[in-house]
Amino acid sequence: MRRLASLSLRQRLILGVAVVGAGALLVALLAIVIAQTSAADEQPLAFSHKTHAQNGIQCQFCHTGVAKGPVAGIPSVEKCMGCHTYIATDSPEIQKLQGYWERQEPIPWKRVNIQPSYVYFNHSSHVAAGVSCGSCHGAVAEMTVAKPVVEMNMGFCLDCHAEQENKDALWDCTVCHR
Amino acid sequence: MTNFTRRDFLKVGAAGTATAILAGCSQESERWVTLEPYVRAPEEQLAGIPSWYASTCRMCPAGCGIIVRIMNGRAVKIEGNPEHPVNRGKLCARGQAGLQLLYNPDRVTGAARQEERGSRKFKAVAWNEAINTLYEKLSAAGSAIGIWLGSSTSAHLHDLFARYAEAVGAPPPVYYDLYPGLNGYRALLDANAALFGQAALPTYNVARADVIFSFGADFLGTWLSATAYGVEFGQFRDQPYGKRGLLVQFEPKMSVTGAKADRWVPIRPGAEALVAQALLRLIADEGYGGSERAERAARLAGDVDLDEAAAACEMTREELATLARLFAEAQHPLAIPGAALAGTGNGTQAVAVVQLLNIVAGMLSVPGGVQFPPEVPAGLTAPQPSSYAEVQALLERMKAGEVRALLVHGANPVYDLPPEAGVVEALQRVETIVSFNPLVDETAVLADYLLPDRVYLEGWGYTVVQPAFGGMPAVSSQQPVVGPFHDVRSTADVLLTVARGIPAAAAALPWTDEVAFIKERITALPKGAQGGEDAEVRWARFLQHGGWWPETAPGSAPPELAAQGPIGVLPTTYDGDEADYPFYLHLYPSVLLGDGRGASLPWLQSAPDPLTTVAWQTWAEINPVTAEALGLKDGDVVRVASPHGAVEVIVYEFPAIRPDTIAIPVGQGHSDSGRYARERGAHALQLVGAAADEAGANFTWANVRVKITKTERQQALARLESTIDPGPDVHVPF
Repeated sequence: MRRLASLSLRQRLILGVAVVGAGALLVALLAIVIAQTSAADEQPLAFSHKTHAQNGIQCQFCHTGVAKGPVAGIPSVEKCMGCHTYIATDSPEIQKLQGYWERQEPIPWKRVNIQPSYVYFNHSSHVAAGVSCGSCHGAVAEMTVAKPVVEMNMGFCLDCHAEQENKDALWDCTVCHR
Repeated sequence: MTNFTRRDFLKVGAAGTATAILAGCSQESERWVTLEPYVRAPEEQLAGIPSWYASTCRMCPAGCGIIVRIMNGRAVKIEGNPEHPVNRGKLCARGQAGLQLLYNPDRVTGAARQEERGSRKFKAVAWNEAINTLYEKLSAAGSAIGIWLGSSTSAHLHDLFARYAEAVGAPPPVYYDLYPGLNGYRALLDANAALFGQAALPTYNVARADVIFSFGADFLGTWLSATAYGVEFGQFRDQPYGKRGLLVQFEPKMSVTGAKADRWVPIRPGAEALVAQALLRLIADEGYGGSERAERAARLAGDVDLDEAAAACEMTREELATLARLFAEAQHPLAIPGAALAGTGNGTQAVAVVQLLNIVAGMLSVPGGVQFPPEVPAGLTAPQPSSYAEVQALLERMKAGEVRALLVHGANPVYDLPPEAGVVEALQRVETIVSFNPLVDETAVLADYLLPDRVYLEGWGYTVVQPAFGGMPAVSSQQPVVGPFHDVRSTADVLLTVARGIPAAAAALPWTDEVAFIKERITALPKGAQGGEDAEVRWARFLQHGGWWPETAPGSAPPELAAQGPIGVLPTTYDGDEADYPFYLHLYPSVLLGDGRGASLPWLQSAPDPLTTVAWQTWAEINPVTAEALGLKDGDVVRVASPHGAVEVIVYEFPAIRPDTIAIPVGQGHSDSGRYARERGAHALQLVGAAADEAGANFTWANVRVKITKTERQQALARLESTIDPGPDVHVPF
């Protein structure tokens, strides 16, 4: 292997450009990965999971589909208004909610957790297997704005699948990539 | 690393780019998806679980059953209804594309008024005001109204309009657009009326036939119902006891059906009746197929020049005799009259002559033969396509100023008829024109009011299926699978509201809304395959299963034969002198765009035509031999001119067409109808005259001669197939 010094100026220039280019790509890659796992900071209204959990509301009261189907679901505006017609009506954030209700508009929530389209995920089978909400979503009950604190990548899924009794079946590619 | 070469640099660069691309396929766009939960969640909806609703497709008049996948209140996919007797779970490209009618960005979003016709400046009007205006105009017009409906009009709306017209003393609605026009529905109806005394669209039992002679019927592409015939064609090729049906297709230009045929006969345009006569003559003279068939043929065959008929098929007289024998000696032979022969000056007789082959073979109301539609109970009837004579009568009334208000629903007369028919001039003499169509089409541009109806995925209705496949009488249900996407109103409800204020019509249209009307008619049907003792249950099952049909097809007796002797067919005459216009023009409805209503849907525009693989454009199919003689090649823009008009189209060298014929698909060349249709390709109907055929069934569109002149321009064809020169070894069958 020749030493770097023995390379011609032109060769060194090319190598330099290549290294800088590769570095730039790496940074871009990292930025994409970070973007993938970070939450939207700004939600249309400052909903606090903590306040609701402290008042004894169970996850499933609002996320009704979690034990029944693939998607946990976001409650309808009507459901929010079921309580907030009477509760905390003087709060500016609740007045925002009432605005949506009066205009009969859906609240444009920003998504917090997402799996790519090539991943099949079903909430109900996990809930049925006794997986608690927190093991994937973190301590949402202590968050004001929900954050994707757990990086739900393939390793995270497989760590848990590996510990299960029917581990062989759960390790099959087509369990999630179907 | 000994030396960092340019190649190494490229390798590093490529690896880096590949990583970036792989990472770039991440869900960046998905990540920032905004969630839109319900304002009020329907109780039966569960997030992430789709609902399926049954309804009826309305992209063509066949009446296929569909099931629509609904996610969170949005229609996301249309499939065929597996229970439905017409399409049996299958669906064509046009049916799939129905979603894009619902979500079309150019839909009329509410009632609107146009100050100046043709200005394209529409002012939104409140619905109450619009309905009031319609009431004032209709009540002032009295019987001086015209109603023009088309194949996307639901049967219940046709029925309501017909009742309204009768109540106010106006002529019945005209039910005509290019779909029945280019498929020869009316000629088929009239020919059957003359032969059997039954004016009904028959079905041809392709599934059980063993030899089929199709005279230009593109039954796997556009003719009557490509999905229903597609299912039957599968059964035709895979019959019990290993039998495989044999299909002979007579047509000047290869269609989708021709491409699947065992033998493709490039018949001269307009010679179909002549060849059918010759086959009858040969069966009679040679005694093919046993005494019974030969005797019937002797009674029904006319005089015919066999040599001329053989020449029209580019074959010898012996080869033609072989075909006659093949037909006559088959167990279940079937002859199908297609669309192009119905568009000639003597279309009705030409269709009748082809039907004679089925009569000779004794293939009426038997498996593998011609089947006639059984009667649907409770007085439900399918609206019959109007004859061109009826269309002309309405146009005459309009030109004479006898129509003060014209209501247009489901048809687009300006596009659907050749310019010489004078639709635009006739429209100018009408005081008030109202369009109920979902898009601003060529006719709506000349309208005063747009009162957009719900599109079929949003609206109620039913279709009395015709022709009745498998001999099964069926009423196909149409229900809103999603809520209206825009501020649109059901035309039937608008009509019922208006009629309440008009004394002559109020008694004839007493229903509170269209659902009350539909329910009353449907619950009068007896118990069908869907069951239900109670009327309410039957109604629910009607919606749930996609319609009403009996458990088994009732079967029908062979019709009484009205024709006892030969049918005289005049030789086809052509518009344009052979010296000036050396080529025959062969028009055909596009498999994807249909009669042109598919042009506003980008899925259909971008899907390649099955035979040429061209998308988005209008091309002229020219035999390579002809193209070479004229010095033309793929991509040359040519001017095709007939005695009636001219269009500019792009040359496509196509080996499967006669050298003396030019074929152009119909469907493009819209001046309006939304952004995807507008100013794209050419409307080949401009080459056609507006003269009626002998029976007044249709305008004559299949007997036109054209000439071609090269222009200086070139335009690349948007096509999928290779454009590499195949070399001299490619087989050109001429």
